[in-house]
Amino acid sequence: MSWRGAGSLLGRHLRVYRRRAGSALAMDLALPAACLLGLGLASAGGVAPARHAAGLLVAAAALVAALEGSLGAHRRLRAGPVGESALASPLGLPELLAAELLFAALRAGLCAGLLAAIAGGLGWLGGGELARSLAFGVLGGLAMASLALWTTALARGPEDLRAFLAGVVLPCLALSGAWFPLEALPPWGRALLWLNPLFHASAGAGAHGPAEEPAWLLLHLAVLVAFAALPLWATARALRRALAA
Amino acid sequence: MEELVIARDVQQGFGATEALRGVSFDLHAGECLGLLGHAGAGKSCLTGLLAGRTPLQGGQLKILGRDARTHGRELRRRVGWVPPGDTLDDELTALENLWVFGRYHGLPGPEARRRAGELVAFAGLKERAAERPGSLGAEGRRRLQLARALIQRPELLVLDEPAAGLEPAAQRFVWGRLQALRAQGLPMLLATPSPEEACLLCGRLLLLERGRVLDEGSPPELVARHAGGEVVELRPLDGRPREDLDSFLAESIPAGARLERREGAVLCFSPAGEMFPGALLERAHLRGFAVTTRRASLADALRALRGREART
Repeated sequence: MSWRGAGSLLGRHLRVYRRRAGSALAMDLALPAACLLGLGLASAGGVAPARHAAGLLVAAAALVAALEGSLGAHRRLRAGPVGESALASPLGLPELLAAELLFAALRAGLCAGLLAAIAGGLGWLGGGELARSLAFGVLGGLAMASLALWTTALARGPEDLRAFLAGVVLPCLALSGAWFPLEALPPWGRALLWLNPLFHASAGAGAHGPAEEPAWLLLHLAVLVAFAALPLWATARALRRALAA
Repeated sequence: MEELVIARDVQQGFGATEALRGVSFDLHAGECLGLLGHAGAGKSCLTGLLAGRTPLQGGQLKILGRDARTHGRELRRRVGWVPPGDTLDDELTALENLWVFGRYHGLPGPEARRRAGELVAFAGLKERAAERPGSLGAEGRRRLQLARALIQRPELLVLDEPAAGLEPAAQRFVWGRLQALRAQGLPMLLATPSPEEACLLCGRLLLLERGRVLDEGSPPELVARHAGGEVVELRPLDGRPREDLDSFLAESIPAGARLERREGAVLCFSPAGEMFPGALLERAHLRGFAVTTRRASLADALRALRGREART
C-alpha cells in the first residue's frame, strides 16, 4: 500500500470534484441546513438545540459519505474506467480503496465543517462540542462510506445501490438520534440500535446518551472504527473479482 | 544480446478455458516482437501478463530481470501498456489524463505536467488538449492511450492492437509514431491480428493460435516457410465452376507447388525462392482463366499454418 499513490488518486477525485463543487455542495447542504435552521429555531419539541445540532451534523456527514461511497464510487470504479486506468499503473486495490475512503471522509468533513460553522455561528455548539461533533461526524461518515464501498463492490448495478441507500442508509439516519429521542423506542429496538454506526457517531457527538463519560465515548469510538475497518477486507476481495470480470 | 523478456512454458486460463498452453519465447533489447493471431489466439492474455496486469498461473516469466509472479507492481511501473479496450478517464481532459497518470506513476507534479505536455504534442493532440476523451473520436482516444503508456518513460512498451478499428489514415499515424519510437530504440511487444501491421513494425513474429506458438521468425522467413515465393490466382473468367479445372491443374502446375481453393478461385503457391514459369500463365489465360500473380504474403502464411493446425 502506497499512501503517495492513494494521494495521487485522491488528487484526481478532488480535481473532478472541484468542477462540480458548487452543485455538489448545494445538494449536500440543502437538506441538513434547512433541518438545522428550521428545527433548531423551533427548539424541536424539547430537544436541546446543541444536541439536535450535533445529531444533524453527524447525519449530514454520514449521508454525504454514504452517497460518495456508493453512487460516486460506482461511477468511478465500476461504470467508469477510473479503476481500470489506475490498475494499469503501479497502483493497486489498496490505493484505490484508500483514495475512495479518504475522499468520502473529506467530503463528510467538508459538509460537517460547514454545518458546524452555522451551528457555531448561531451559538448552539461551543468550541469543545464543535470539535467532538466534527470528529464523530467524520468517523460516522467513514463507517458509512466503508459499508457503502462494500455494497458498491458487490452491486450488480445502480439499482442495488439505491436499495442500499433506501434499505440501510435511511433507516440508519432515521435511528441515529438526530430526529427524535431514542428513549421512545421499545427495549428490543434500543438493543438493535447498537448495530447502527450512526447511533454510535451521534452518541459520541453528544446528540444523545451519557456522552460525557469517557468510557462510553471510547466504546462508541471503538465500535465506529470497527465499522469503518471491518468491511474493507471483504470490499477488496469483492472489488478484485468485479474488476477482473 | 540482452533478453528483456524470457517466457518459458507459460500457461494461463480462465475457468475451463486454456488461454495460453505452454508459450515460450524471448524478447531482446531494441527489438519489436509481434504476436500475430486471430481473436482467441491468446494475445491479450499474454500482453496482460507482460504488462504485470494479471498474475501468472503456470510456467516462468521474467520481465526486465524480474519474476512476473512476484514483481507485478514494479513491472507496471517499468512497462508501458496500451490495453485492447478504452481505459481513458472520461471525467478528465486529454492533458489531465496524461498528467494524472503520471502522478499515478509517482512522477512529481511539475515533471508530470511537463511530460504530459510533451506527449500530448507527440500524439498530435496539442490543439485538443482541453477536450475530454469522449469528444476526441476513436482515433484521438487511441493516440491518447499510446501517449499515456509512455508517460513514465517505460523500458518496454506492450501494445495490444494499438490501431484496431481505425481508418487507414489514422492507422498510418499510429504506425508512424510507433516506428519513431522503435527508431529511438524502445523495445516493443505488439499483439495484432493484422499481418500488414505486423510486417510493418515487427522484426520478428510469433504466430499464435489457440494459446500455442505455431512458429516464429522474421516476416520473410515465415512467408518463405509457409506460403512460398509466388502466388498465382486462377479464376474462371465467367465466374462459373469449371469441370476441366482439376485436369488443368494436374497437367500444368509444377511439382512442389501448393494449391488452395478460396471463394471460387484456386491459389497456387510456388515453393520458396521459385517463380511459376511464364508458359503456365499463358496457358491458363488461353484456357479462359483470369490470372493474377503476386508475391506470397504473411497473410497467406498465417492462413496456411492455421489450415494445417486445424487439420491436425
